[in-house]
Amino acid sequence: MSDLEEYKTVIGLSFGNQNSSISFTKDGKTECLANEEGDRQIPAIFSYQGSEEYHGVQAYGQLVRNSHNTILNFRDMLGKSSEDVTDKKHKRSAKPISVNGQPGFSVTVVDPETGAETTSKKTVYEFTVRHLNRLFESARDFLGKKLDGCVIAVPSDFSEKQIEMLSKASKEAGVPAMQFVKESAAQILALMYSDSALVDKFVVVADFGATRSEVSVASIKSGIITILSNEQDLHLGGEQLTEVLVNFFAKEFEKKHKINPLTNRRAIAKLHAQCEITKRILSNNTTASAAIDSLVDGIDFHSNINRLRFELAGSSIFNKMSDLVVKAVKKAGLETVDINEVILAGGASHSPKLTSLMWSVFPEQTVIRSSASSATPLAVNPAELAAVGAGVQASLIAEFDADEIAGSLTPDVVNAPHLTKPIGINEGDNFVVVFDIETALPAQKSIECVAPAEGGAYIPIYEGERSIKVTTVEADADESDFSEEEEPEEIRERVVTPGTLLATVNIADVAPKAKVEVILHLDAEGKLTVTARPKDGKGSNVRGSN
Amino acid sequence: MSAGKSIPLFPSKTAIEASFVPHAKVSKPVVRSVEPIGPYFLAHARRLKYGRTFSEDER
Ligand SMILES: Nc1ncnc2c1ncn2[C@@H]1O[C@H](COP(=O)(O)OP(=O)(O)OP(=O)(O)O)[C@@H](O)[C@H]1O
Ligand SMILES: [Mg+2]
Repeated sequence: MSDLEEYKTVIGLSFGNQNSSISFTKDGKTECLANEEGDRQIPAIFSYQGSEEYHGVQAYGQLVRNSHNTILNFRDMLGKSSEDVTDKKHKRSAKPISVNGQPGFSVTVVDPETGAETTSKKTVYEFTVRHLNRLFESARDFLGKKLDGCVIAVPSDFSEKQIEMLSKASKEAGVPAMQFVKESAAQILALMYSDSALVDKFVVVADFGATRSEVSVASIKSGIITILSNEQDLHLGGEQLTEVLVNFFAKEFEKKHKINPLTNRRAIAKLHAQCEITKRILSNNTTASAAIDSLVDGIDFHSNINRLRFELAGSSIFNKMSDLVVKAVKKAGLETVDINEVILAGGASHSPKLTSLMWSVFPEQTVIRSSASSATPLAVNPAELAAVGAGVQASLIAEFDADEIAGSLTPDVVNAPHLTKPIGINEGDNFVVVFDIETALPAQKSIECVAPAEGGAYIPIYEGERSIKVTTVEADADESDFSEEEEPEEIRERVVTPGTLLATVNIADVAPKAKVEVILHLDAEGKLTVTARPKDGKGSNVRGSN
Repeated sequence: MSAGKSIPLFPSKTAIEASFVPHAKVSKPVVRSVEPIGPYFLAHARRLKYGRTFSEDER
């Protein structure tokens, strides 16, 4: 065997309630793979019609004709007891049942030979194995190689029991899971990998999926990610937005024809399928049409809607999503002015309204990265970020053995002290933060200081005090034409001033304007060690700890 | 790793010999778990495992 052939083939995987994606790293770039049908977001849906089993987009297409025999939204039920699951997310499809205490579904299939109908009960676990098996098969076909392992992204509320079941399912489906990572952390990694990872920042990841929304606030310091807070709503997502259109068109239809289409299961399914498309069109265009043949009683339906009308009708849903973001920032002990970047992930984040809501919630300097942002667009489909991040991680640990991976997940490695106050250099207005709060320890940074014109380097190192400075600016006469009230605008800024003096470094013998390299090191106990040396080598070197 | 900026220093009011003078300890940190993901986390895990310093790691 040559060296090349010994490399492991590993993939990343995201498994949502609606869609899954698989990713692979080639030539340093991680991308989602398409299945045989060309889909990169593969619906976690099964449908049974006659003797056929449909999966993915084909199964999705069965929702209108064959809803009671179509199984979807099962990821969140994995590893739970049937008593703990609701059928709230199964209004339009097969309802979950108890299979010996485990959640499952009943499916009816026809024997192709005898034509006999048989109904069987299958657990969510079994559907998960089947679904993963399909995904692995697609990846194998695409790559033309056997798969050695995968990294799977899961939501932050996935319990140990759920992870255990998913791990078992993955193995049974043919590819062992090497590691489970949080969807939010994977979404960050997907973007961080290609970007300036070492620029310290606070980031919000807001994932708006099909059936749920989750917001995480993360501190990223020297490339290390710490999640500071999570907020989730398990009944808020793209489905609710589609529902807004369904209700909108249903009302319109009823007004015209005096029949409420929402009393007919088939009509609801047809409306839903059309509104899903209409909603997506509204993400790219300002108007969209809807047309359904024979919606009810043989009556066709035709209509139009513009984006503004949709956003108005869906304002309570959009606002709930935006409120979740604000709540998560508060929970993290931060203010919106502290957030450097907001990443909008998940399929529902395609709706442009979410981007404009973020613009209004966050100050101007916060970068909003979303598919709908023209200034700072995402290079990756927001629904694929979790899978891409999982794939990046898979490629990083591809050659690790199980013990090595387990060894990096132990509490002594993962639990780290984090700074509660910023640490920086200089006095008064010249104070520069070197380590911000929520920096994981140990940490080290090298900075360059420039001696004053008089020569000599005096470097005071302080812990900083954080506060918010509020400035009121009178409303601009021109701009206020647009707002109803002429309230003065409040501008909030984060300011850090020197607090406790930690240490001082003095090097009297450096030349005027000489450059001094200063290395600040904090150990796991928070002990500070400073090393300073003139870059030109002319002058003393100083090293000390406190 | 660098903070990425040059910091201009100001003249010392107490020009003395080359020295390091400790004044106070860093405030007590709070323990949180970091996400076990990405190249920089793996470097962190490696440093802990082999008891290596940042400078040894960079080489
Ligand atoms: N272009 C688009 N415009 C608006 N919504 C879209 C667009 N594309 C996809 N969506 C919505 O995104 C949702 C699916 O998102 P995603 O694939 O992230 O879900 P998921 O992760 O499987 O679900 P969940 O997070 O609930 O488990 C669907 O509701 C879909 O309608
Ligand atoms: Mg999701």
